[in-house]
Amino acid sequence: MNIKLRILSVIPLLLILSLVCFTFINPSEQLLSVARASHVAADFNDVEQVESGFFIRYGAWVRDCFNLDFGYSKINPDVTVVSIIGNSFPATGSLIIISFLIVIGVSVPVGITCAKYKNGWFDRIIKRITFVLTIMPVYWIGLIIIWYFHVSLVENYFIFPALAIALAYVPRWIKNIRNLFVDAFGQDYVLYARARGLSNSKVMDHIIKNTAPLFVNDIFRGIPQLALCMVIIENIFAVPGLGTLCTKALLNMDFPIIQTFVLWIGVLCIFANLAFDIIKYAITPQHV
Amino acid sequence: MLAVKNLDVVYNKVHLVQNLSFDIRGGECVCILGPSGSGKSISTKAMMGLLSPDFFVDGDVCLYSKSLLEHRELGKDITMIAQNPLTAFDNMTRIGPQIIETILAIEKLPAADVKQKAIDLLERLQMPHDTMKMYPLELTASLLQQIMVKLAQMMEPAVLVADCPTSAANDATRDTIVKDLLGMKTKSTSIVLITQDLSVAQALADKVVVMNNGSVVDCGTFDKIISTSQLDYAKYSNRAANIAVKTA
Repeated sequence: MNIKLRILSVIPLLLILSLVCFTFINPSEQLLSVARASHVAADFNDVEQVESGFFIRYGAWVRDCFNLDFGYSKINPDVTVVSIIGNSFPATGSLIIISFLIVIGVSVPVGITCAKYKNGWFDRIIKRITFVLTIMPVYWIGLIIIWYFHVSLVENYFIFPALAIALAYVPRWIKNIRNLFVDAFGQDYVLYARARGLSNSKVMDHIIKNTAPLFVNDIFRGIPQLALCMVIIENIFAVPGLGTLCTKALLNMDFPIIQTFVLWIGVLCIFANLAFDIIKYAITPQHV
Repeated sequence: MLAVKNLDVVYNKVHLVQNLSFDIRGGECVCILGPSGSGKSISTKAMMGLLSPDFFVDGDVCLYSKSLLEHRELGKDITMIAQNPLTAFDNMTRIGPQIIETILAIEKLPAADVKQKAIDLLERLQMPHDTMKMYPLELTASLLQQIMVKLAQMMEPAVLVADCPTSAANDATRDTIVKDLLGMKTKSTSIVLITQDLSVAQALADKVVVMNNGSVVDCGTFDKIISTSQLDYAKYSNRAANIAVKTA
């Protein structure tokens, strides 16, 4: 893969994303079409802007985006969209970080131990537990946690929701990591490294070097699922994060917020994918 | 010196190796012949304890009085030349560091000495010293195989398992590899040789064990095996068939 081409491909992606956001979720565009259909002049502040062409309006909108001017909430016209989203970001951010730490902290050691003693008693027990956990839907896990721990919705922003997300994620991750390492332990380079008398930590270095690209792949592929989990769990635990903001905005038809939200998530996905490809490029020798 | 007694390897209730027994004195070479899938590689991996724990290994492998199945120092007691040179090294790491880490596993030397030793090793194979910066997949299988032989030579193990050590070699490199292995025999390293090339077996083996379907079907000296056994020569190379005809 040509990495320069990959970086350049971000430009058309951003263009398409912004066009979609502008045309389909834009509050003023929708009002405009209503106005056109009913032959009524809409109550726009700037008549000139309305009467100018589509691409001129699009250009103005893009310019506003670059200035981080996304307008005001429809429900709450005194507050800017940026400040609303900015206020709910920390909750979601810390939720992601805490659940991610739990997931990594549990699944890496457990997965490696399972791989090391493949089909041993530990591996078999973990296999059964992960099987049961995999078939439990995340909202159900969340409700069970609330019921079992009597979580007061105000006190515990993070630990319990993060636990629910981790429980949804951990089984898949244990399975992935176990399989990655079972595969690695049987590889020729590992056998030969051990036969040469290398220490366990040196052998592990080689294994990590070889499995890292696959590992990164798994992490990034899990992001969409994580976003989905986040919306559900935030609503169940009433965490004031992006997920609850999103559902609230949708229910209120608060278009400026929805539009900005979709745009930001889209941009985030594009750049996360780009970062993933760059990381993969950096850790893979070029001839492979 | 090395005694293999009743070695059994079972996987999923299938006997992969059954009742394998042989012994080697210091500086001797045992050659295991047999069709692919007959359990040659599996049994040598079992000796080194390199099989994953879901293989069930029974029997005894003794080096002097020490049981290798219970405890072994890989690299000193026993080491190997891997069967497939293209997958033996870690393809994500340059070859230089991999040679260096092997030298460091044998003896603790200052960094500059180790590097010099690695460069010397490559120079003996007529490779320039910037080969150190190349990845294994950028090198030929034949060269990687020779590097493995040189590394084995440097490790001076008590037992060397050479799994098809000339599979990627041409005529010239085959001769140098055979010479290197003969040199290791004079330094009293015992060699367990697996090969499809009867000329290599003839040059190195003091004893031949023929395996089929996991058990030993014949053993004896090379000449005796070639003249009497039911070896299927068709799967060995033409060169080998010539030897068989000559010695028969």
